[in-house]
Amino acid sequence: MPRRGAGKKLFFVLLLILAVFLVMKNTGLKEAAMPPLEGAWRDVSAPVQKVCVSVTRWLENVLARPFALINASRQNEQLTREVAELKARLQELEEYRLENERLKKLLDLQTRPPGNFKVTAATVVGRDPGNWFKTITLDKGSRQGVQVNMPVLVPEGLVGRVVEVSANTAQVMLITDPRSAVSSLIQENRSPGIVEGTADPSGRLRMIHIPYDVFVRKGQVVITSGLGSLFPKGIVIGQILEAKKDPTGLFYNATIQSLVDFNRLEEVLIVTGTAE
Amino acid sequence: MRAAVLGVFMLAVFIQNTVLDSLQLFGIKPDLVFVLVIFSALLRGQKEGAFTGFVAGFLMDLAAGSYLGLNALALLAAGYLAGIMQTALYKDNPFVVALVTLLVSFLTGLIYYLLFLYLGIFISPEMALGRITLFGAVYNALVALLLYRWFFRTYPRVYQ
Repeated sequence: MPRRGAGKKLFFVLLLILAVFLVMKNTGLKEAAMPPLEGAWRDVSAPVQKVCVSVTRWLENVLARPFALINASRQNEQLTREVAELKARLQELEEYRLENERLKKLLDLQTRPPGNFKVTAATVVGRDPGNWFKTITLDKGSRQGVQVNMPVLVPEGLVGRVVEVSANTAQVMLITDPRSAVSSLIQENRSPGIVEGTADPSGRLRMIHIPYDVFVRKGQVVITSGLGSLFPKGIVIGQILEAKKDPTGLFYNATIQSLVDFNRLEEVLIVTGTAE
Repeated sequence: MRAAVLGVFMLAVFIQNTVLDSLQLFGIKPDLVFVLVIFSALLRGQKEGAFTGFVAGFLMDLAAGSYLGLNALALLAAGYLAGIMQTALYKDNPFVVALVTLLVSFLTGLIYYLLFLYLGIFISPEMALGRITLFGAVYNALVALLLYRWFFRTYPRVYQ
């Protein structure tokens, strides 16, 4: 009899595991509004999380300040030098900008300059609890006009896109998430490719499907291509670190380093539209 | 599972979601919920460990918002594996506890990797089993070493 009881228990455990496998497969990111229960939970917990994150950051800053001061003087010297160099470069670029405007007028192009977006700022109030997926929770939701698939940026470059929204929060999938793919271009030679997340803790990305007939080298800047309409064209994704031919020999694969520090994101900008 | 234990795990998930980001080393954060599951499995055995792991993992799934059951299954396995070692090991030794955490952490990483394959999520094996799992396992073991004395003193009281 006890043996039969144990068999029954095992059967139920296996049935439960099977059910979990089915539920798991059907509860991936759906890119829609959150289910009501989950949305309500996020809305209630977001303010508490926000306080918690703020206190932690304050503590982190206080503890790190003495170490930061040691480097400050050396950094100051280096930055003064860099500012002088950049001022000269800025003047040179201003010339190019004016020339570009003149040429555009001549050609009568109706393109929008990159960066001409309507944005709303949001604070990061939470992150995925594990090390596998790279998502963040923001303190703005549908009530503030945030919608699924809106791009998210910081001044250093592309961060990700909104994948779920509740009334007062939004979940953003970072471009470093292994489920993320962004249609992109190498700025210098306009060769297309797809930038994928790799789950790399240091925030490195992989650009695949770069045609083999272009010159790919370290330091080239990669931007969004605007194809597929999720991300506007011209947002900086990162710089190429290295490139290798893929096993088929038909394409290059490149490792990209984003300029965004994904582990220390505090405030981000959600692109809600383009400026008129 | 007592309400107090459930409360401890809910608090742990909350901390995991917020505060632990500040303790990232090379982009990896320790898994507090996982360490607590290992501790409770070492105290209460494999069945209780598996059940605690399942519930704690389910809470993590709710916090993550996608793939409901992913963490639940992985932590169920972790609790069960650690529970097997409950009687065989001298768990009053902190280094034994850290070693169990290291080992089970690595095996759980392997389980996650297999579950990702099932879900169609590709992460390169070097990244998944090398950087994330191996480094995460070492980090979890260090956290276990720091927390085990407090936990082994407090947890039995929570259960009473």
